[in-house]
Amino acid sequence: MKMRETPLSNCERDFIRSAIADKKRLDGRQPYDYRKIKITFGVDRGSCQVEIGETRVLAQVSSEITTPKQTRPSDGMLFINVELSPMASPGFEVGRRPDVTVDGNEVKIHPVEEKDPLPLSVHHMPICVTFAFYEQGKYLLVDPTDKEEKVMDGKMVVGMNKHREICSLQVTGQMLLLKDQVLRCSNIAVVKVTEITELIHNALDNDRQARGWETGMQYFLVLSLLIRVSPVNEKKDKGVGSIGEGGPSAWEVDNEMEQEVADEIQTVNKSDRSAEGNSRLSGNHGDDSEEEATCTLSKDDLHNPTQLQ
Amino acid sequence: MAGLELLSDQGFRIDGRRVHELRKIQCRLGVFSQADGSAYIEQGNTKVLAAIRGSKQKTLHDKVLVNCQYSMATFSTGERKRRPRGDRKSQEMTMHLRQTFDAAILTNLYPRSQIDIFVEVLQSDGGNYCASVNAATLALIDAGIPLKDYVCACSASFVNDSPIVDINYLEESSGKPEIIVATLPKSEQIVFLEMNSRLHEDNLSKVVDTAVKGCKDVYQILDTAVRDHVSQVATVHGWEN
Amino acid sequence: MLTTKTFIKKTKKGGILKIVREHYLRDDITCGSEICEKCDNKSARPLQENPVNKSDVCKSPHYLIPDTNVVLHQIDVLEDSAIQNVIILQTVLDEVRHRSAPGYKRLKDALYNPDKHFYTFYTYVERQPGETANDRNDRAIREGVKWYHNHLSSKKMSVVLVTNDAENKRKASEEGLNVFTIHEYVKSLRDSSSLVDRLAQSGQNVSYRDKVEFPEHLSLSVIQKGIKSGKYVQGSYMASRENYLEAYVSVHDGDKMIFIQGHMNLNRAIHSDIVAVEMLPEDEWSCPSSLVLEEKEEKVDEENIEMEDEKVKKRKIPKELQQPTGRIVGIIKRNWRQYCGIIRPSTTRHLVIPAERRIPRIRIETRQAADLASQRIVVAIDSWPRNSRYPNGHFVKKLGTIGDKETENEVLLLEHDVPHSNFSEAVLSCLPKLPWVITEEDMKHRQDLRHIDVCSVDPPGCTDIDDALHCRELENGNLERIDMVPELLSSNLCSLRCDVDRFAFSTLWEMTHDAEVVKVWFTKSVIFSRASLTYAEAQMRIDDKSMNDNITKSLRHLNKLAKILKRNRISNGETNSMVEEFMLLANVYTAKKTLEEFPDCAMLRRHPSPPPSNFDPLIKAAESKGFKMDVSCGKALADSLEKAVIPADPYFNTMLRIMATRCMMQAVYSDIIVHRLLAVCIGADASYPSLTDKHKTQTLCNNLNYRHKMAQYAGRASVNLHTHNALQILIPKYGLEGTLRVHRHVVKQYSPVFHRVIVQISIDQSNVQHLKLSIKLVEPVIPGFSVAPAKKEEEEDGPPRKKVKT
Repeated sequence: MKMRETPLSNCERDFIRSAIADKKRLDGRQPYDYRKIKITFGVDRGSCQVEIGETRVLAQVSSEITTPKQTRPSDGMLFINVELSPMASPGFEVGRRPDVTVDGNEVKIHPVEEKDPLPLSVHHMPICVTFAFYEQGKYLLVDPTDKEEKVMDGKMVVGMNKHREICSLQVTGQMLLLKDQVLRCSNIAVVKVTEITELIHNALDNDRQARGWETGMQYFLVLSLLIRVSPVNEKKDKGVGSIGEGGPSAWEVDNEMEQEVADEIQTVNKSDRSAEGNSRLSGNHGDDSEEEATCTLSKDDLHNPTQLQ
Repeated sequence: MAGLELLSDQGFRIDGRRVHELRKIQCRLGVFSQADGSAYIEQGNTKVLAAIRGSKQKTLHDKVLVNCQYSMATFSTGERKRRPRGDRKSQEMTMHLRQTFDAAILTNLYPRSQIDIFVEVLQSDGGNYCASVNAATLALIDAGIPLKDYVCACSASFVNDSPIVDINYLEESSGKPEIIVATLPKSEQIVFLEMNSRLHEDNLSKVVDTAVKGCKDVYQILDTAVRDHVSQVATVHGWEN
Repeated sequence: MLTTKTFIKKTKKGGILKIVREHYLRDDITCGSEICEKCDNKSARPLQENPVNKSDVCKSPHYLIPDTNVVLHQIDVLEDSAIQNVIILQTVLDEVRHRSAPGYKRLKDALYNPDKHFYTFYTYVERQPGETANDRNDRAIREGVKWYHNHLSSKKMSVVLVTNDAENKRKASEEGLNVFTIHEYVKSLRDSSSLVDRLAQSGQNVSYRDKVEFPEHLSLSVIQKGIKSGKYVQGSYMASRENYLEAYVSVHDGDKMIFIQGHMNLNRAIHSDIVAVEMLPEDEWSCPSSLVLEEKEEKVDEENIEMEDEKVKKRKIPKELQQPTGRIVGIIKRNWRQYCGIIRPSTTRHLVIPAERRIPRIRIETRQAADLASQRIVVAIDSWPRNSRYPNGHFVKKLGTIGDKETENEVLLLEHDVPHSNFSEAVLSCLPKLPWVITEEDMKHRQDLRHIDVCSVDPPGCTDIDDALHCRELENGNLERIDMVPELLSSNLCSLRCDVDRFAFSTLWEMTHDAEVVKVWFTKSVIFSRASLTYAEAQMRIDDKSMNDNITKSLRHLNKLAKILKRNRISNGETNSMVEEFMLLANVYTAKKTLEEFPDCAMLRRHPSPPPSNFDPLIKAAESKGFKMDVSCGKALADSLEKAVIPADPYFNTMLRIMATRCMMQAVYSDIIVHRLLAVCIGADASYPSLTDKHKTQTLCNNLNYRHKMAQYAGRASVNLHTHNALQILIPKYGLEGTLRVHRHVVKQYSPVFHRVIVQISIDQSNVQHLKLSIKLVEPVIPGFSVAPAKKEEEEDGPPRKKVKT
């Protein structure tokens, strides 16, 4: 068995364990506390840095026009590339795509100067919450740090959106749990997800204001990466989403003109891609430091928000 | 117009089962003599072979090292695709199996040893993980390795407001939520749990219950098979009474 | 473990993918009969001990087993309360499901209905070598009948196979089973006269006096090949409301419309069918005749329809007016539903004139024609043979006397596809029990807004009050506005009547006095409406300076805000437009909200941008008054509309805008789905179990509910944009709009658009199906056309306007 990282000393291990038994954590949090989350958007659209405690993740979204798959002509494609090992942290993005007008067979891509780029629409925003279990589930920590993870028996990762829909759930590790423990975790996750969603919305609002987008509706592309706690120096996580696909753009209707038109909001409902976007990759040789990348990203829809106003 | 009706109004699933019914399970222990332990299981059209090998190792001095190898036969699915060992799906499955059995085997009884669990899916029709776990459990029992309990795995889904158990490939690929649970049936402890697709939190409990109940049903079948096998072996060796 | 035998079905798909599926055959399925002692008696047993089907051909008590075609074609008969104790074999159920979604739904409804005593039974028969799927199914049905026959013979209970398939019938009687055609069986029933009418007509070889021979429809495989090769195009058929000889086919990929004209080219397509079209050579292209042409009541049958076609063809079409024209070569999918109509009795075969103008007359056979003459009835189309001028159908049911309010209501509901039948038990059980009180539980998730003085404003006589408004001044000087829509769909609970507690979805705005929105949020609420006002009452309250109660204040605020909101549109805020203004605002905000919250669920419809040609009438109309319209994009259009103001004529701009809207609507009106309810429904409550599924249903409900409304909207909007021989008259006082038929020379003589006229209005009752607003010109006086002013009453109230399309 290969160990890529230095294991904790027995001494340190025992210390953390006994601290947990006393309901104390190394960084002073309560067992159910999440670490402090800081969200910073880059100058360019589509770039964002998220800090959760000592974990930092940079996400970058880019898009290009590509030929859609023949089997799914109305869907775009999404590529997610995660560099370096991950665990719980929602990284997300304010991405924009250029507006596209289709006139017959002619596709015109408007440069940013001509038309404001459109936000991507995201179906829902799953947030991941990690729970670490100790002593066969006797103790439970929310959002464990790197060190706490090294001494845990096992963990449970819940991906959930704010509508309380569980998008992914995984219990791993060498431990035995009872159903009630699982349910309790999912209940805690509900609370945490609501908090974090709120936080993300606030961050987006701030960003919008900073960019002077006071009226436009905000859509964002969510790249929810599970980023493993890693020391600050080895940051190079990068998610690249590539959105292709043009399509008929909405006929731009001036809002003041006629209410009937405003009634017809056109929105596209495409099947949820979250399952497809879900990939879980585990460490090659069965080592303990598994890499996880749960990426949920919805494809971009054709939607013209200007119609709404 | 006529999409698949996963659950008819009369309460039947596509393959004619009711919601709580498992597929037909058939299993055999000791199918190979070269391996230290082996088993073959059929859960409906999903057919899995498992074999156990024991050996020495040096890394872990206080417990046994559990190693797994999961693979799918190239002829196991409808698509004719080469499925080289070690693709990402198999790797993931391998890891899950290893974790599952690491938790269930009394690992401290065999320090400096290694248990290799080989699982080969011969035919796949949904529930590969579950069948693999069940087969591996039987193989471990055949090899005589002490376990905390049988490890039984079962899947469940949620269709038309009703949980359904032991889903087949068609039901798996319908886009409905899929939950996979491995338990120790006697204590109802969960060894492994995974879920994907969207499921509302309120329904989680129901679906988990259904899967756990499924595990217990699987246990009954496996236990009978084990007892039959043991009595058969006993007869052969003249150990009766 | 209940599984019994395992059977493996192997299917090949596309040659490469081999699908292996398990099929569990069960031995625990019971026969479902009350008299049976062999089966497990714990399961449901809907089949009665003493079935009441009184038939002369089978005098002993019996159960019916229909085959697939009987179910598909004679569902109207099966739905009749006289038919009970029917066993639907799973083979039949599956086939019905594959072949007709509405048929399947109706069959399922019957299965659910405990009074019908329907039961589903399963048989499994393996396909034999060389046997077609159809033969296998027939055999499976016979096996089922045989099984029941043997199973119940000891109980003196017979089973009757009902099939119209001669081969199947022959085989069945060879096997010693009771078998009849549906016609034989139904006719043998005592008191069956009404039921006989409901039998679908199967007679293909009846000859008609119509002297027509429609072109044969191509077979599906030919059509498919043709579509692939580009020879034919597939589209949905939309009959013209105005002219029964014209239709458009809207082609799926792209916004193309193909024009179809003449009986032979229309080739028996019926509104909303999916059809295959072949384009005509360009020199045969045509254009809408711009005449309002209704099928005449008299003797049209006798007229040779080829003559009619000829007449149509004779018209000279200027090149620039020509539109892509095609002819229908085949029907890909019929989308027939049941149609309301009235009967025009003749000797034996009677014609039914559907209420929907886009549907041709339907020929039915009935013995009760005399009774039905005064009734609104529902009919279904069965077939349209090549040699018949009209489609053949059968009588389904009566709705009631013509003109009766209930009846007319039902017609409306039915015609707009709102489910009008009684709700199933399952649906009703979801609704709160009456009498209905608000419980603690209900209040938990809702905001109590009962202390707020809410009122509703609707047209007079409106029964479903679906919007309530409120506005009050907040302490910080801003205004708080609330808009509410009801939550439940049932009639009593739904309507936001005054003086009762009601659940609602509310949209709350905080606005400044300049109508700037400060904040907007949504909530589920409980409200208590203080008053249900009509537009006029509301206006009166606003104007009456002596009134200063909360509601009136609230109305004044609202009115003020509406005016501000409208300042870029019309400057005078009638109450009527006030409500609309706020609904618009609510729409916009709820839509935003929905999109934010549920980008994947807020699915509405996308539609193509209206082609610029749609705006031609608008441009022309504006030009006549010296304005230029820029229709290159929405903004430009809005700007040009802005400028087109005649100070002396404040209505001109309004009318121009109405026209602009219609131009846009024309392409899409029928499909606009108002999303407002949807938006509010789901925007308010973020955590609802199985949300994703629920709102699918809700979308559906809302869609249906709103179609009704939208159809009216659409009707209003589609007003003959293309008519040459009529003037559109708008009467602001009543919010009415009508068509004034004139002769061409009158138009020439007197044709300015947007001109002020005085008219006399009355109700034209000559056609009971479509009560028409009859408009007569009073001024300007045109000799031989205009009428003398009736009473002076006409003149006092702001002169009506008219607009003319040329």
